[in-house]
Amino acid sequence: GGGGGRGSGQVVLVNELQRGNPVLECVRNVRWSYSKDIIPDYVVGRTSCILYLSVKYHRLHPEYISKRIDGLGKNYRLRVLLIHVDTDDCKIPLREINRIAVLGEMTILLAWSLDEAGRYIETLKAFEHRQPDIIKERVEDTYMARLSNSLTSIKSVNKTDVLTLSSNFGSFEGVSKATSNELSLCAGIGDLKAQRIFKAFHEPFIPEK
Amino acid sequence: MTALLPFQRRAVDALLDEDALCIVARGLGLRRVVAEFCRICATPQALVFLLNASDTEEQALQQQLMALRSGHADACTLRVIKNETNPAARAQLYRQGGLISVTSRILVVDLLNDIVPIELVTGLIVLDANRVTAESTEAFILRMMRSRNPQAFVKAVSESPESFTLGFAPLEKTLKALGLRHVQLWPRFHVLVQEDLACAKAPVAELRLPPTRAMIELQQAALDCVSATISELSSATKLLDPDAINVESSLFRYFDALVKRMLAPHWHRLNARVRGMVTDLAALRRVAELITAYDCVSLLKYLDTLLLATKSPTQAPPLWLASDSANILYSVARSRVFSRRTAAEASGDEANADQMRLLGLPGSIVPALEVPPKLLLLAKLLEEVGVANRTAIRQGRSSTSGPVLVMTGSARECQMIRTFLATAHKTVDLGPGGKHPKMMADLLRGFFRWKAHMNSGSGGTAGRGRSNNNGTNSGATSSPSVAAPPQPQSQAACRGAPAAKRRRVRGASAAGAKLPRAPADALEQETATLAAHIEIHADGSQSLSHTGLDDPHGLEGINPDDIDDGWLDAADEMPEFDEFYGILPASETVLVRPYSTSGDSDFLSLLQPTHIILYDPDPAFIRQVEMYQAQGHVLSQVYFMVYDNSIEEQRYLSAIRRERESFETLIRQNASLVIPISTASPVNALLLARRSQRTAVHIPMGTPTIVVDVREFYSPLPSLLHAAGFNVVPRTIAVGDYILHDHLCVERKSLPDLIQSLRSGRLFNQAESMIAHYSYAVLLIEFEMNTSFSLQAIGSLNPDIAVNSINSQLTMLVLTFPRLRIVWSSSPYETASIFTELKRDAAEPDIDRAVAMGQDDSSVEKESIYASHPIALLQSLLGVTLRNYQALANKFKSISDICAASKDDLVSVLGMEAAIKLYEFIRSSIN
Repeated sequence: GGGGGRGSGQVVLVNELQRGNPVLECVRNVRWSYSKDIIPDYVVGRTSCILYLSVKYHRLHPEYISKRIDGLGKNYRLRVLLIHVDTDDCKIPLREINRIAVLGEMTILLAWSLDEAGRYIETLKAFEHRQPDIIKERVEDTYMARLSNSLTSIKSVNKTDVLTLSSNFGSFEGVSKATSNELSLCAGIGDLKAQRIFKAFHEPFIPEK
Repeated sequence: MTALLPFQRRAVDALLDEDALCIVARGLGLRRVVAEFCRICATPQALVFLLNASDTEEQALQQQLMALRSGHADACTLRVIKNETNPAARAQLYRQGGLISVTSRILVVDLLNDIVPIELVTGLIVLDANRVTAESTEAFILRMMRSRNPQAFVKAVSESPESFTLGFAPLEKTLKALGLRHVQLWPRFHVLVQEDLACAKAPVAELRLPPTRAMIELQQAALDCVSATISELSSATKLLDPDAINVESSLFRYFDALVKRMLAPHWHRLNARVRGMVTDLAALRRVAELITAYDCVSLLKYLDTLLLATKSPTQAPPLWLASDSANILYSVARSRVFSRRTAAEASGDEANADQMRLLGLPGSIVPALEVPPKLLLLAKLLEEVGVANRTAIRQGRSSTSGPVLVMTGSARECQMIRTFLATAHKTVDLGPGGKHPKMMADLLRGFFRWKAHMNSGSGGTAGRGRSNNNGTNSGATSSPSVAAPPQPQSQAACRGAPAAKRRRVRGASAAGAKLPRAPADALEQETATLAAHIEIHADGSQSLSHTGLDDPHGLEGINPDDIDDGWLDAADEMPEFDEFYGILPASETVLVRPYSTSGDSDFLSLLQPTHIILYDPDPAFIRQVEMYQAQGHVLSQVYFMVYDNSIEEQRYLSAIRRERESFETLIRQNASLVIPISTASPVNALLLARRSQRTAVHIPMGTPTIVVDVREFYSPLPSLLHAAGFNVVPRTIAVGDYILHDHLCVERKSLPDLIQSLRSGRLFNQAESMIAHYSYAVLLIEFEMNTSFSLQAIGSLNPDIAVNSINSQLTMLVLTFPRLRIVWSSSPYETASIFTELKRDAAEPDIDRAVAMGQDDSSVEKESIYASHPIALLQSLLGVTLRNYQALANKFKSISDICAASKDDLVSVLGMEAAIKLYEFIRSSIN
């Protein structure tokens, strides 16, 4: 079996076994081609591969997936088990699949439609060399977006309230100086919300012992 | 302390007789009943827990118990255990016994850790029982209590009969969760209540005011918007029950919960437009409420804020805003505040325009300033009562002429009433608009100043580079910039500039660059343009007044009448109205209070009013007035103000009807209630499964153990794990939420958490530290019960790979951490089964190891020592990162402390770059 190296190009390699799988029609944003000499169902990167399983199929052939996992060997760092949830009655099979995957060192991705499954295949390939910026801490760009992001972290404060607060008190600092009573005088901010806002600004970070 | 009424005594006796769920109508003094019950059963020899008590409730109970104990040194007091009480102190308190109010999360942790002497517990009192569900922590506590100390009593109370009629068999479910078999109902129409309250009847004058024509039109327009949005929502989702979701029900707060409940199973799959409509409905309900509760200027300000908040480059505006009804709503709301003079009218009348500018108003408007009819009536009423009181005293009938109590729906209305009454004798001449009450004129001035201020920031649409740190916050202190008479040259500039400005706006819209979306938008823009007068005015005098700002004595030369910026700010300068009149005899006293402060049964007997004016209708308070009289107090007169045929009236009548119908339903259900001993709740199914498992399969000696982070006890999973037969060990752990064995740790994410933490970068850090410390690092993605088990709306995938979709972010996580395992669970119940699978044959975790894991690693979060709400706000600030927020939280006490900190102080904690970012973020203003 030679997965490593072969998948490093721009193309998703697809195992001949997958011929006829309707999910292939949903892989549109990256190129793919069949390959005779790969063990996994899909090779989406130099060290990443996918095994594909539908819940219905698993219910008919519960032993199938374990065999496939055993056959993978140690060639891949990322081993995705892509599950197509194609039945509502999926609780018990998923319970098994979760266990098999944890023990078999597979990472499960669940897709509820062929489109979604195809999208995971595409994205795994497309993001192969991407830096993980999109899931790292980022900074919002505009002041209003940032302020909105801050103040809406207080329960029940919405965007309208953010505008009300910033226009009545001028700045974040202004809001921090407002009393609970002053806050409640703002249009649209009820007594309860005013108390919540006041508390968020004045509650000690570390509760006093 | 007031004596119990006979029916209250019966309610206490009934609770003493049997374990039960006691539902009492609002306003009938449930708190007094609970206090009496506590007094009787919570002696120092007993150990009684009080669950679900809010801060206010705790304080009120403490006071009542204090009053009740008078003379008995060993009578019980209420002790309160909060997050900040450490375990050693808690253990001490438990051993001392008595009555202890404790949050459910702490009690469950202490029960599991055997800090509570469970066999010594006398009983539990559960407040707000309507919040208890099979999965809630209270149910967990009661389950443990029953299995280890079946003698302990359980009493549950609620003041919300309506909650027990929503959804499927809620009464039965709640009783099962509480482990109770009896219900005691105390509606207002209960025979005993009727008898007790019938004895005293003060004359009630119902003052039905006709709403103004504008109010009627506004209400109709708001309701039309609501009804259009509801039908749009219904046809878009087909998930709403038309019997429950209609214009009438939309006027109530529970409506939001109702809609969310119906949509919940599909919520995360609904598209943004549909979710937006749910938010719109909440906003419109608020508007409908405010039409009668707010003065005309504040309502317009709120409507404009609503409009400005929707101006987002990324989101489509709400549908209702584009409707004709919205147009009516905005134009009527504006027309009762002011109208605009045509150019012809204005040109011949420069003197008037100048006068307006001097007052800080645009020159080309005619103020209309509709005064709320209720305010006028209230002023008249108080006058009459005052005259009557003085006459009565002269005639020697002083017992019937005490203070007048005015009750309102909110603290805001109280402030409005106080200001209006305090300044009722002052009027301001507003040129072509004639004379207006000072408060209304001040409000209008405040409105235009706010508008001018917003103008420069273009209403929050992103990217106005001009940073404005010169302190133009709209606090009262900065008003001199408006009030100070402008210099002649700036006055001239003032006259010239607006025209140019207006031309520019017109030109732009003609070019199609900034076409208003809807008539409402056009109105708002016009107002903003009008306010541009003020802006220039303010800017022109800014440099002059700047020194005045720094030096408070600089204000002395200015007539204080001119510097009030509406009652919002006037409130600060004015002495408290009550204090103002405090030295007068009781017969001259007017007290204004919001209903929210009247929850205490002593409220009325402490104030001893002889006249009560209900400025807003409130069913619960009316009963409180009845109770007050039943206790033997004399009332001369009760006035009840309501706008005739208004939304306000409809809400009041519907609330009464809803409560009555709820009680009737509950009475019927109670008659036919069958609660089997072994109940069929899902939690019990887990328990049964565990028992059968035990007999069938041989489980190794001892129960399987899972170490659970204490913060996880907000979620239902620990309870369900316990029910599924796990030994749940609560600890504060730094890495992961659940430790199944020495090599396997699980981070649980509910769907909203997952989305949020992927976006914020938190999950990235958590995954990093899990992988560093455990060979099996598991991310558990847990869907909520009764929500659809699916990430994506079918068919809503973009044709291209969207970088910020949840699928993309999840893929990125998987690519970054190939060793991270993902476990998917459709509900917490399912998770319990999955954990059973994962733990099969594994050795038990070493608890101390789980706790020690990651403790020496400084990069790992140890947030558990922090309070969650202020920390969430802290982490959201610019310049604050997951790496540096702890340093801030350790150095400063609270967010407001950080806001007050000097730049140097921040630099010493954060370093230069982050400190400057934070410092400037805190101080920058919207424009």
